[in-house]
Amino acid sequence: MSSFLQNYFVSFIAGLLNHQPLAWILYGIISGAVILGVLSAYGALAVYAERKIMAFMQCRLGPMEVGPEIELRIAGMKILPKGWYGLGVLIADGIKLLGKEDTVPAKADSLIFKLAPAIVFAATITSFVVIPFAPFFTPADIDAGILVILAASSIVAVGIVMGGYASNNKWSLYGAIRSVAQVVSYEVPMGLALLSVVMTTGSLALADIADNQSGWAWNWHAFSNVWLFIAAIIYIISSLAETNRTPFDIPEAEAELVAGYHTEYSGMRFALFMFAEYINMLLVSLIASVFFFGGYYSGIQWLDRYYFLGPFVLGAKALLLVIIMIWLRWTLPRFRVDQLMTLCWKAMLPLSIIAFVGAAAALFQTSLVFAIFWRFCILILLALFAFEVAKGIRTKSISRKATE
Amino acid sequence: MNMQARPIVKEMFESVGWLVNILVTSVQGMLITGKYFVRPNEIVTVRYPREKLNVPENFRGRLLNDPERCISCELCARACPTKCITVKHEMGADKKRILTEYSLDMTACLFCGLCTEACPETTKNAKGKKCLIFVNDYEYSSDSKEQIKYYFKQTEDGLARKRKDAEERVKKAAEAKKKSEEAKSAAAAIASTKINIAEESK
Amino acid sequence: MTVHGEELVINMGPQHPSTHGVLRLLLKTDGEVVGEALPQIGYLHRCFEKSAERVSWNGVVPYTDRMDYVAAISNEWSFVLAAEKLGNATVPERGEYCRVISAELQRIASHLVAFGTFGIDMGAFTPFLHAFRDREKILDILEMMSGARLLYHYIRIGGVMSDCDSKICEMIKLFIKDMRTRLPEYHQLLSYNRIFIERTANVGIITREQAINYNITGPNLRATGMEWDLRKCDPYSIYDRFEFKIAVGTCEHGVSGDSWNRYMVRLIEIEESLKILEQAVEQIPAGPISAAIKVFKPAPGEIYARTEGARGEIGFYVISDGDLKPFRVKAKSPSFCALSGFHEYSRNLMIADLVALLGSIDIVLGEVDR
Repeated sequence: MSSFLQNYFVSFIAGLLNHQPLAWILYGIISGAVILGVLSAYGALAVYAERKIMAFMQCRLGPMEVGPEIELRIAGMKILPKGWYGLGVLIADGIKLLGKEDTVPAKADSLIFKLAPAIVFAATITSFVVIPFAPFFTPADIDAGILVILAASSIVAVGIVMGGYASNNKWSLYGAIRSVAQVVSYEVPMGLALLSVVMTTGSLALADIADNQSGWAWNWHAFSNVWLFIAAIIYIISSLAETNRTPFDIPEAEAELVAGYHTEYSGMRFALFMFAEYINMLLVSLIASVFFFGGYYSGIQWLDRYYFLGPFVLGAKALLLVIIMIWLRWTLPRFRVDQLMTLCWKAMLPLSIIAFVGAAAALFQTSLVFAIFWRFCILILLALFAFEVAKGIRTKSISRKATE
Repeated sequence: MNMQARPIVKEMFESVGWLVNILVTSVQGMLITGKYFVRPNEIVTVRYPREKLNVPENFRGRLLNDPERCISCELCARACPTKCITVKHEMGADKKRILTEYSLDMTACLFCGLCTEACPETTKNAKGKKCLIFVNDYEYSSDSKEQIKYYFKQTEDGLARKRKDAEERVKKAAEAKKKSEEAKSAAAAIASTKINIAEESK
Repeated sequence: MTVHGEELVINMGPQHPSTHGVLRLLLKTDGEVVGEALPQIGYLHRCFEKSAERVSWNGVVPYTDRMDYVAAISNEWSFVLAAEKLGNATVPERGEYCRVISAELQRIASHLVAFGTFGIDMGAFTPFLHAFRDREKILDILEMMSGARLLYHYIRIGGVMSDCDSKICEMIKLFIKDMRTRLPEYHQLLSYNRIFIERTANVGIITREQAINYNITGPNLRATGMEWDLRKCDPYSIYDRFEFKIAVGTCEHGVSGDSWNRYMVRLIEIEESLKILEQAVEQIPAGPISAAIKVFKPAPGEIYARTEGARGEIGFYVISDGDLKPFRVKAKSPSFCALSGFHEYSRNLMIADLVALLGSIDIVLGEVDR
């Protein structure tokens, strides 16, 4: 059902070519090319966005010099004043990375060293085929799509280990070891969080999960049920660890391990690692959107039937999460490796089990009263959280006055 | 079993509280970074080649010597801790020094300002500036060491003029000496005549 | 059962992001745990003490700037104090105030660098640039006062280089006001962040006994709860006129002498320095800023003078043989002392903790190697 569009497309080409397997191959090439193209554009823009967001948070301007002078006017109104916005760095960075010497350390395991970035990149990009971008459109509509995602994200860790091990650098080795420990641990709460949704929906296919959240925004999994809300938070935290972003960036902890597993990489090989990181960010954000935040549904029931909005809605949600990840990165310090494990095994795992069991229990309570009650719980949780945040800020200012 | 289970549950609750605390403080920190993100007027970047910071009057940017006014006293060279100043001079006709070349090795300069302070007050020009001063120029980095060794040479004209001046001064001095000697001898003559008159009157 | 594999010896530095310069640490690690960390110093040795013997008394002062380049004025003051004691020079009242103002500004600037770089060590990049944004204002003020931005050569034998006039005083008042709004932000952004507390509290503890045994001074000593500040305990210049508290470790998180307390002492000291600045700007009298000394030529003798720098007690042991040049200059630098016991208090830390320890003792390699 959900692959309706895809089947239509394939049968259309098959009709033209009168050859069914060729039509499938063509379809694969076209959808792959579209995804790769979009991802490349996203990767470059994400790096730019990260640099700009970081700069503004730090009272700086960020990249400004490269590129043409831009003045953005919409209907005569000045949106952006005339000036350089440094958009040229997107191209300049690319050229720089391409032009750099491709070095392999003398005593490195050359084959594995060269293979590692390719594996990381390929594994990251594989998962995109199972993402439902719009109703009736999933590039590869696999019934067990979530398993593909979990499997592929584990392979990323393998690539990182290969890179770190083959570099013949002690710091890289540390990065690789840390990466394995981290990814393996965080897959458990992450898997449980996703499993709660799978259980609620009753399907492993991502399109079915997304379709389960049509209608108003409170139908989204994260807001439909307090247990799934907790699961959503757990997933977002674990996904930070999965993508090696701050506060879980210990595999590439700059202050400790120089650059971790990619210390010895340069040029395009390094670019592939970095590219994979940014794409991975988008991937986990897309998955979070699909599983918890309504997927391609905008949360407004009246807009649901405009299917063409699907990719844009999904993209907007995912990009918002990506921006939050960037925001977190430039705010937080990083954990120590043992604290990371403590957080995972002692806090996130029990919480995800509770969320899982709670979600299971909630399946039996389908009456309207309970539906409202669970949503009310989310509101209370959020209110308590906001209260805690505000209280913390107030006590700090009071203690400051006291010391003065 | 029960004895063991309780601490584990307790620890679990503590850990979850810990997680919540992490989230709360993280959001507090995000509020700060978010605040600056939406406030473009807080940006402090100065886009250097396009904009420049104002440097104060007394900024120690680069040493400049005026060979015209320099008297080659070498006080600066003596005050310099790194000995980066060398003064070449010749003797004028009046045994006063005339600067020929004043070289500054800025690769060794500490920018301490001891030399400019040692520079004597007599070299001040109409604006009250000494001959060795720090100027606000700070854009003189170069890709070779030779380029930041500065040589302040006396111009040919200046040298010729100064030599002439010295000679003139010698002449003048000689004339003045002559005059004063004449005056002295005249005065002596007058005095002696006075004495004679006085003696005679006795 | 514990499994002990082969020790892995790693070189941390001299080119490493978190060694704050060119320090080299030889780590003997077992997994993430560092069994032993041996500092190897000397990469920035510039023969300060020997150089000082061949330049005039005034000429040594700019060399002292280069010792602790993050807090240059503290070094100048210490050497100038020694020279003045030897030569019986008196400093005019206004000169003393100018010195206090510049030194306290410098202390704040130095602590801001310590705060920012410690943030980077812990993985938070933004506090670093926020700190540098505020430090820039101090540098502007000091630039107005002395004409330089980093190595000031502001304090001279007999007084100071130039006046701290009313315009600069106004700038300082503005800065004090501004800084007081920034400090709570720093606390909210970094100090009380739970991840930061987890990373630093109870980590890299230097006990009071260790601190005293290794002659650690300054914020690192005060973090252990010891109220030892030369500005109060052995007042020099005019510090007895100002009201301020000795910042000691609060133990709000962690135990005394750990990284968090060392970090916090610096932030509290910024507040206290602001208080001193406020008073000094109010009280500053009119008058000359420098005693007129034509040729400084102290009588033969020897002396040890010390001041409270940003990193602790900066002392100069100076011998004069009645010449225009000092006969011998020996510098006591707090960073060197802080690093001398490093092998002891870095035992059995994790690599990440080692970075926290190194960042929180706030060493400047220029001062360690001299």
